[in-house]
Amino acid sequence: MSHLETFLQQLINGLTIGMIYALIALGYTMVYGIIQLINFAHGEIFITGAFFGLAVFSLFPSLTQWNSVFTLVLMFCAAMAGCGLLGVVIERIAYRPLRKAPRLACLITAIGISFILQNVLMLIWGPVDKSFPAFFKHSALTVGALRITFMQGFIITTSLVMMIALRFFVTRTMLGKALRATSEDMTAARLMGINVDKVISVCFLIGSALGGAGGVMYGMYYNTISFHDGYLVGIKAFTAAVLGGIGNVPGAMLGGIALGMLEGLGAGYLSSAWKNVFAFLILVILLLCWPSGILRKSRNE
Amino acid sequence: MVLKVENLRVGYGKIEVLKGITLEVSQGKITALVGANGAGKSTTLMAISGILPFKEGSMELDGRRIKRIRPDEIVSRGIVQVPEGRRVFRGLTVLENLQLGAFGRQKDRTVKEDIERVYRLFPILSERQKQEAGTLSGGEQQMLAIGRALMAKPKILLLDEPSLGLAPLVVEKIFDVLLKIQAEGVGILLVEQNARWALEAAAWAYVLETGKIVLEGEGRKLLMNTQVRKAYLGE
Repeated sequence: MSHLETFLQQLINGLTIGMIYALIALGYTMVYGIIQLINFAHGEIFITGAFFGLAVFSLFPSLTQWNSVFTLVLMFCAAMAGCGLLGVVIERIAYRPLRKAPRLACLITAIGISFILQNVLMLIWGPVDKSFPAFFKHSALTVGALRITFMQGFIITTSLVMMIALRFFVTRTMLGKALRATSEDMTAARLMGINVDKVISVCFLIGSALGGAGGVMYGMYYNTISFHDGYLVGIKAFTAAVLGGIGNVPGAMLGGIALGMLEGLGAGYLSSAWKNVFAFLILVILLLCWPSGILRKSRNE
Repeated sequence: MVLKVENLRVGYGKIEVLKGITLEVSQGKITALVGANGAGKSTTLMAISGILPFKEGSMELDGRRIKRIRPDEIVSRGIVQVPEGRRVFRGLTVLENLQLGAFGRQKDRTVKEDIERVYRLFPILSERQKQEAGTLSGGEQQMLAIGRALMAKPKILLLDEPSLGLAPLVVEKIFDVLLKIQAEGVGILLVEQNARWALEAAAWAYVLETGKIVLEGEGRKLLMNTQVRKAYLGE
């Protein structure tokens, strides 16, 4: 393998996981954009998506060729619907009553919810790692020494399609426009007849659904999931959101991809044992020198 | 349509800002609310719009009492506010701002015609329709804020300091449009630091001082009042 090929290979590997980070980062950034809350429970929502996917899979034990595509679609649907609903419910019962409370109260509540979810997952699925089914096992595309597995292609394209759909929703539909308006100036939005409670619910629904989809992809990619995976991956996705500028939707996409690629390169050239260190090194450096991120959200205050 | 507010009391925590205000706004007329900074003018509008809760008091629309309803329900009943400082959605385009003004009536087929109508009132907005609202000048933003509120088809329009910080020529243009809107049958409750113009145009006016209405009467008559002249017209 030549130098260039190694580099490209690591970039592709990084891009794959970066897309997953980006999907999760979107949930952080959308919620922050609208109610200025760092939803620490989002990492757990993400991994819950993986468990929902696994639960659906266990209903279809025999995987014939046809069946597998069908199962996969069903897994994604279940994870997205389940997590979307979970996000809406959490907002309704835990965050909405605190809308006027100091921000710290919400933050601590979010951390509390995160612990509750983690423990519920452990109670239901047990404390040991669960193996996640492999799809598209041996199919890969090889260009020279480069190897792109079908799985990687699938993750990258599916995430891209979801991001494009989100972009369409936010820029073209009235509800999406209301979402942007509400995150810019909630009082003005209310004065225009926008029911902001509904808009906030929609924001949690979409952010959590994307996180759930990311959960299934994560499970497919690494083949094992555990109840505490949400924490680490969640913090990484949060780093990605900060990297792109928290509150900024395209920023979260870029930040996720950038973080994934940096991690991939770090793992490839130094050691994969150090990849988490890179993510957090980036977070620390970012918070020190560049706290507003790559794409700073334009704010008028 | 007549909007009546009776004995309105509003406070932030223990501090009472409005200490029992009674006022009336009717369709097709301009009603002015003048007073010094901190007298409670904006608070009055925010309470009517449903953003601030009443501590006491009631609101009646055409004789029907409305109680504790959400801001979006107030808007759908035809009471729409143009807030102080314009507060257009800066990151959204001019057109999107106008569309959001009609958020409560998306299924209404006339939304497009209404956008055209706003463009006729403020032609500059039509030239700038694809621009982000944050890039507009202060005067253009005020026009957009008024246009956005008109998109909700108000029967009563609440205007908070529409002339604040604008050049005299622009202010004139905006006041001209307000007269047009009034002539079309919309009732206007105008909070204005430019008390002279407000009182001249107003059929009825209220003077607010530290949360209480201390004087009311026909606009032109208040303009003659020595107390008012001293306090608000700088004479």
